Amino acid sequence: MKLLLIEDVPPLAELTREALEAEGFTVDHAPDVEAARAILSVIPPDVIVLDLGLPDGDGLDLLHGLRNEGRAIPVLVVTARAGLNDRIDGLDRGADDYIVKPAAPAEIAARCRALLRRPGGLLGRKLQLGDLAFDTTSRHVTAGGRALALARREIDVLEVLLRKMGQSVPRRMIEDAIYTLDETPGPNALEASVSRLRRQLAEAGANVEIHTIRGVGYLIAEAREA
Amino acid sequence: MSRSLVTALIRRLLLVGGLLTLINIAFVTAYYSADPEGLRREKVTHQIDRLAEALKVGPDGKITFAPSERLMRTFSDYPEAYAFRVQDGTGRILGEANTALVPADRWNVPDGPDAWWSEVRSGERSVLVGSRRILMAGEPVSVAFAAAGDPSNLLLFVYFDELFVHIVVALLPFAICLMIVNAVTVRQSLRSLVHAAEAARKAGPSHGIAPLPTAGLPTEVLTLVDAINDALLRLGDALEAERAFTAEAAHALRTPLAVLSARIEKLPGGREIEAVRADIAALRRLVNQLLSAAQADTLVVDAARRCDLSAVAEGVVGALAPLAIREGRRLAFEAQPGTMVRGDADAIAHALRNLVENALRFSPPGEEVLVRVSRTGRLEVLDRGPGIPDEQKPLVTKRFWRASASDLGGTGLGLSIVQRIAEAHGSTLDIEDHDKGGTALSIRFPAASPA
Repeated sequence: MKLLLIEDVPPLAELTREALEAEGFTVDHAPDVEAARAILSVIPPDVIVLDLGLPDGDGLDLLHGLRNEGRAIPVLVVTARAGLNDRIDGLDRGADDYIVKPAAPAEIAARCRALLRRPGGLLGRKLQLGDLAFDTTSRHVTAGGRALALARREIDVLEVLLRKMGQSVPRRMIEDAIYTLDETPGPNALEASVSRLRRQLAEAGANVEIHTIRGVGYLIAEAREA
Repeated sequence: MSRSLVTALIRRLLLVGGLLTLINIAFVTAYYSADPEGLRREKVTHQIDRLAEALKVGPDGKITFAPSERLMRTFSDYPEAYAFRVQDGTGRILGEANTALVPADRWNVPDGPDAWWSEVRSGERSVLVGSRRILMAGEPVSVAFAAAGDPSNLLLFVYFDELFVHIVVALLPFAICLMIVNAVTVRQSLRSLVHAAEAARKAGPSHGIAPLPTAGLPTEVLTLVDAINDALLRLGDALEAERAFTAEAAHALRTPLAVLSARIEKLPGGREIEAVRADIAALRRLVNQLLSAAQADTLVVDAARRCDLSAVAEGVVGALAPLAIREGRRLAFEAQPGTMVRGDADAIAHALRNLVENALRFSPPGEEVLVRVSRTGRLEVLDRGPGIPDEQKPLVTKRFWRASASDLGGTGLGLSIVQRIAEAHGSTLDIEDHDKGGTALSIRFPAASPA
């Protein structure tokens, strides 16, 4: 996957680049807005990591210009600015996610993969967590290579959770994604689906766990080693 | 010690009034003791005035003399001292008493002037006779009064009468008017100062620094208020500079820290490296907490801003749930949906993050940390940890305070930041025991009416 890293501090750019390359990304580096524009016009990347304070301009302006051109490349903003009062308006200006400096390169890589896992994203076809694999095209689910026979509703729930693996998914978001407008699910319908899914994952020996966050929703993560 | 300006003015006016009265008394006393003859004449004049008041013109045009009993008592009580005679132009006597005190021929000076005096010696005594001609219904009436000595202290009466005219009649109404006008004027000119004081009371990092209103201020006070406004302006600049510094410091500190942690990531694993990574993580947390503490100090909460407390809290619980799960704790959320409060959503989220991270750190594994939002605008975080002893409750919001020296997980800033944010919302962080064991931390936010 091609990644464009826009970062003006040389040692930080070099270290981040090495870490991202170790995670399997092909990294182009631009130290300023001008270089970034040049690279974007030649080889469009799959994902952009954008530092906001650049020597020749503001990263947000670059982002804004990109969105005005109608380009939907996922952008992860890395910023030192986020504070109490000035939470970046980057999300409003077209950023897909943001992370506050100093961020570990491993986390930058994880966030980039999460962006690419979004529906329509490059990694959107195959979702992998632990030994659980989900093919979004064929809608086949395997655990440790063995196929799982899941009902359509459970597959829907699993897909929503896997697309946001490691993050909380509000139950409203799951309900919106799995029920049509005509369906009126009972108050415990989602709980029932999730508990069936949990049982089947456990029976198949998958090393993933669906956590309940009471009052909020659910979260899927690799099982903790006991 | 402060004193009311009005009270001070009235006190001073009373003092001046009292002094004027004393001067007056001294003046009157000195005047008459320097001129005893004048005083005696004054006494006679005074009695003539009293007698003249008893003259009436009847409906038939006849003049009658009708003295009061009190007036006549002076003469019946002291026949040897006082005498009078009232007679009209024809010589008809309208009223008289004790006329024997003066030889009969001395009562009348038919063709004399309108007013006259004469000193009559009668044996050992000297009698002062005074007379005045008054026109009643076009007819002259002469009123004469004679006094030998002063057994009835008429002199004293005259003296007090003089004082009364000079002090009570002339000075008192004037002094009272002066005091009322003074009090009203001072109150009114200071009213605009009260507005300025209200504005000054509100000024501060949490409400912004605006110049005090100067409209309607008296010029004497205006100099002071202008000077205060200049000072406020400089304070505002300083505050702005501090905010700018905080933002600069954020950038300046975070970038080298990012380089440092990226370099450490590259090194091969090992016990030493793991320890360094943990140190870097602690340092990163400290830098972040220091910056948010500095920002919390200068946090401006616009009371007009509304936010959905339940939605903000749900977002924070959702964001921190992965951390809780990684650490083997559970996070739960209970709320009345759509609880609107007046407050800054970002600041409230920041406060709640600190509260939850704190609660997670002190919760035993497997236990639940509950975030609760009630309809009244109360945000609560309940943990099942060891609880906070009562004597430590006031300490936990102090900066860099830690429960024990070995507690290295926290920065000791988290709860002080929460407290600052609560204060900026005109609220406070309440620390209570959880009735099922553990601690209940809560902040009550002012409710906002639903839009």
